Amino acid sequence: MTVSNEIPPPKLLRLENVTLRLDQALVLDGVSLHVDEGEMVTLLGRNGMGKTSLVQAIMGIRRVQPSQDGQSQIWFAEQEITRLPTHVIAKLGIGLVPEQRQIFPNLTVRENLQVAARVVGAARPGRENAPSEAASLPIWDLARVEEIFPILRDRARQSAASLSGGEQQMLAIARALMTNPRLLILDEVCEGIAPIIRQQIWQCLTALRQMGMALLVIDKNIADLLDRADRHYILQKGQVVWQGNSQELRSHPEMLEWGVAGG
Amino acid sequence: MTIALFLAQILNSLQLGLMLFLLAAGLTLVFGIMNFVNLAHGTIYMMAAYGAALVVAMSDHYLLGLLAGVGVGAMLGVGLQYLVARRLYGKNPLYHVLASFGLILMGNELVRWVVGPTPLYVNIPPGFAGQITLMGVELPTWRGVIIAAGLTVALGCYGLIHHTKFGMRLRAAASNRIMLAALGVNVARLELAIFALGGGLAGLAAGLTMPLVSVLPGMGEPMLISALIVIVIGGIGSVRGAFLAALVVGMIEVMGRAWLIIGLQNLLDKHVARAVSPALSSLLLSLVMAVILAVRPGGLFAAKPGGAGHG
Repeated sequence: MTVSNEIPPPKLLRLENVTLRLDQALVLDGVSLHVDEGEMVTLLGRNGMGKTSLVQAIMGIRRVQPSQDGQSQIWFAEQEITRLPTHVIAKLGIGLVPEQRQIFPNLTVRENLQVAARVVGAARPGRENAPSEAASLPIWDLARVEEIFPILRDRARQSAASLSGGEQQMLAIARALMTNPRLLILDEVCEGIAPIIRQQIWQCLTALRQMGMALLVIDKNIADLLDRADRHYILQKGQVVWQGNSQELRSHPEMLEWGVAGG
Repeated sequence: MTIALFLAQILNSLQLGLMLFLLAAGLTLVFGIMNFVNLAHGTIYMMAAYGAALVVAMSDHYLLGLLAGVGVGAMLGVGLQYLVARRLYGKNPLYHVLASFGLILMGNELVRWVVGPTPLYVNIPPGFAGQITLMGVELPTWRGVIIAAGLTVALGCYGLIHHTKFGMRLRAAASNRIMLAALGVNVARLELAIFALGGGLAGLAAGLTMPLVSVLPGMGEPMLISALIVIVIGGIGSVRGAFLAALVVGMIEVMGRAWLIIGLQNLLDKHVARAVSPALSSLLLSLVMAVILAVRPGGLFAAKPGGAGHG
């Protein structure tokens, strides 16, 4: 699906000159990118190019520093989030499916979902509504995520640590959905996953995309992403070296290599 | 050893174990969730005991003193988190040790300066000074009260941690606090609540044991050492582990000492046996800890770190 050029959709996530140093090493060097409402955008690059650091910078897990060209700025839903604490950023409507899944292994499958649940519906004074509700997206609750991933209902009382890698990945996605995000960031969700589970996950993400949820996908499996995503960014040594849509990426095979080689 | 004496020692072990649990529960959560090495937990226990004893002395109401102990403990926990601990998160654990050790010295000197070096004594509340018969064994009523209160609080802690959303978040934070924050949970507020809970429980332990011990500077350190052993055996971050380990440590400390005296009296002079048995009992405790750690390096119920699963 391509985005209309006549009426540009509002920018949901916007990064301007994002710069990050870790132990004097320049990990992100003036990265600028954006994700529009309802768009699926990918972030491609070899290992160690700064993709996960960029996700951590967006979530406020790592604090960005001023770049040579000015301030590093991160905006979400027209609000600057550069200096906000992680939990506030998440509450604004950014859901994270992190690298390595990072489920809570000492909680049951059901508890992993409940711990992330955000209050929805029944607007009352002083009661916080889900970000997805404000954006007219479907409301995600336990019944709905278990409908999408029935295996999580079957294993509800099991320890999350006892799930297979693929099941844990489904749990990590479902857990992020329980926060009712407007933007879902997925960091290497198909890493080390069996092909059949990978297909299920891609189908789920396509369905989310069709519901109008914005997605920022970090992955090395470019073949799957070319058919599904709207736009792509390629990150090399902490800089965006290329950006464009799937058609343009197909016509630049050398960029395909930058996106996936060595991954 | 007669059966009656054996049962009496079991009950004494239970009482000591439950008191250790009250101290260790907060300590293990602070260690497990914030990775903060809090040596000042024993100082909170001591200052709560002073707070409780002073209120009892002024009001002549034990219950008021107990509540004051819990309040002082909780407030000191919050103060410790806000003023010291949160500035040291993620830093070298040596800083945690130095800062909290400094607080131990400051706490001891402060009570010496404000209250004086003379120990304070609190009487057992009227009506609880006699004996009760439990399982056919005569037991001081107050020790029975401590056992009942300890079991109730342990049960309450279990309910709080395993059947409430707050507890669910505590367990999640023990596994991966950054991920929990990325799901929209205010982990800083959760940490404050954990310090308050830990301090409050230490205050409760202080208030309950106050009629049995002398309230004096430095009274927290021996309890801290035992509580540290408890959380290491139980698994850092696990309240369930702390409960079981506290009972084991209580059992070894009380039973070990009693059996060693009896055993050594057959081999050594009676006075020598009495002198060395406490040291041997502590040695036995360290030996048990070493064996448990050799078999399960993370302790009996180590909180699992977040991360990739199998397959």
